[in-house]
Amino acid sequence: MKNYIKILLLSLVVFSCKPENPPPPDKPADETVSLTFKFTGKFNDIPMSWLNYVVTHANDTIRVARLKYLLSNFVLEKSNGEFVKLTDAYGFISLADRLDSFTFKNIPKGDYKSLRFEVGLDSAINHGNPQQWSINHPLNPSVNDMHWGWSGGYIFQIVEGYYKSNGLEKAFSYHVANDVHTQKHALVYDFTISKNSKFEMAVEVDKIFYNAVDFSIKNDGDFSHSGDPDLVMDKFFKNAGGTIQIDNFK
Amino acid sequence: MRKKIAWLVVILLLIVVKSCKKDAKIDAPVTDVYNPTPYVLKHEPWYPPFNLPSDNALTEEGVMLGRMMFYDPILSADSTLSCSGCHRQNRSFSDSRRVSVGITGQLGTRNAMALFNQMWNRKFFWDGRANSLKEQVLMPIQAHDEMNMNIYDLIEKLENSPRYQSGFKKAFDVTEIKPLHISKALEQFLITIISFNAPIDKLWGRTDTLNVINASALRGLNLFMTPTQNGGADCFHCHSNIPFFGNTSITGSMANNGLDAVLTDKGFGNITGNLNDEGKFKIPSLRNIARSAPYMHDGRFQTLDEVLDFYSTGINFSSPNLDINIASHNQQLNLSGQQKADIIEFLNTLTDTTYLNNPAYASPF
Repeated sequence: MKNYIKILLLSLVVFSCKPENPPPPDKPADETVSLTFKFTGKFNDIPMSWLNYVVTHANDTIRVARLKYLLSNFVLEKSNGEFVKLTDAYGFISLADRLDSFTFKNIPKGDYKSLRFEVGLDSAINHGNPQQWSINHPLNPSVNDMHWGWSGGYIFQIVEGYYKSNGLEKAFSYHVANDVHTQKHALVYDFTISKNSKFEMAVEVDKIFYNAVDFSIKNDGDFSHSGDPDLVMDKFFKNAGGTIQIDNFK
Repeated sequence: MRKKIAWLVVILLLIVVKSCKKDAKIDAPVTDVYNPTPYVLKHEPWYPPFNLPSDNALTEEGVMLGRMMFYDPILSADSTLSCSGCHRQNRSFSDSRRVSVGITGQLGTRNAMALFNQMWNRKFFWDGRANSLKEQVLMPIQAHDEMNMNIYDLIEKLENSPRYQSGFKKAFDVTEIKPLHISKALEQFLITIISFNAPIDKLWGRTDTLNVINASALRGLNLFMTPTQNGGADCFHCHSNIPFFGNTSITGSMANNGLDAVLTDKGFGNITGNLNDEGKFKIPSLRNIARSAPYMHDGRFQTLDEVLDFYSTGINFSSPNLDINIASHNQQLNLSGQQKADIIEFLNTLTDTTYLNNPAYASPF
């Protein structure tokens, strides 16, 4: 009897000491990391204050109160010319609300020489069902408040604020939308991704009003919702390219 | 040996007695066992996507407990006022009085907001002072000019009530009630109150619009959805998230619509302390708006006609932090009588009688 008890106890000790699953074989180092984009609104290279007035090249005294973007189609170009298109990579920023960054995962490590992205959305996405996106997705209208309802599609960029006119404070509002107003940005920049990294981006607000053309809120129009035709938007949109730049990469 | 066995029996008996000792606080009936039934929330294809709270799974027992408390005046200090005292189902769970009246007859400063589709909201109350439903539900209970109930006194009342002893045991497997349990139960009930069954909801994906809403309502819809600069009434810029006809977004749900040139209530500005937020209030959903008079945060307008008159000719353009979508009109809308009537006809298509009469939302008593 005593022997059986000894065997039982010994068995318990042996089984309880049995090592857990054997250690996994050496795992290859993770070849992907995350990439964060952080945006800062700047006016003449100085970070924007959403409370203070600034003066544009066309001599408009303005205060920007809303500056919002929907971004998509992020592509990284490797040093060897290969393109890495980021899938399901959409970004929403609303700089006056301090919603200024987003992060993509599964970015391949490597040496790169350019960054490409668009302000706007592919037509199918733009005119697709906005309720297809999960509750916290950047394209869910409850997140971005940039959808026009039904088949109207998304607003790609919102620039709104106040300007002074004959001593009065008036409002300006530019809503850039419709497939033809997708803005393509291609920024040549050498960078190496070897760990979780971050692009510090500048939205150059002064250039929104003075880049390819000198846009005057007072003279060219203080309102556009991208109608068809829309002379105000035609001129406003000419400045779109080159208004977003890379400040730094970490 | 017998002596040893006797001692062993005594010790065992003591253990049994100890383990069977009644809970110090709750005399829960032995029939109350924790075996919750998951609550299946209907999700029609046209509902916007949603996330249920990960820390508060809906159960039949939890929803029923929340529903009981919502309709029970036990939640107020003198047991005279329930949540439903100011949130009446046939008024879209709002209050027909201009401002709510507390247990001591004190007048509040705001009109009780309608209740539906709460799980899509990200800010609660007219001034956005709560960021979650769990946080929101305990506030009116404790507000001095509302139910004026100390939360720990409430817990004592609930723990002394056999009905609630049983309810909390069955919903959360607790005998010692915590504020979070009250909050979770009310959250569960409020999440189930959904309104997406108005005539306008029959419109999605259809082209035979006039078979769904009449010509006047269709004209009203077009005015609603068209910017002022293009001859519309431009309602959609603020009431912009179309399934809600409100604004549930993180960034755009608070706005000043120009009610007052001089602010008497700073609204959201009181909460954030930010000068840029003064005069801003939550943009409400317009669903069931025909049933939730009076209107605005202080209930100043009794009818939709008065509301349309205000937006037509009464905007105060000098109001601090006037929303840009209104400020950019730079002039009054000056809607015609027909245009106002058409917009109201459209607003009537947002009335969901299924929700207003749903027995699952009514008093369980």
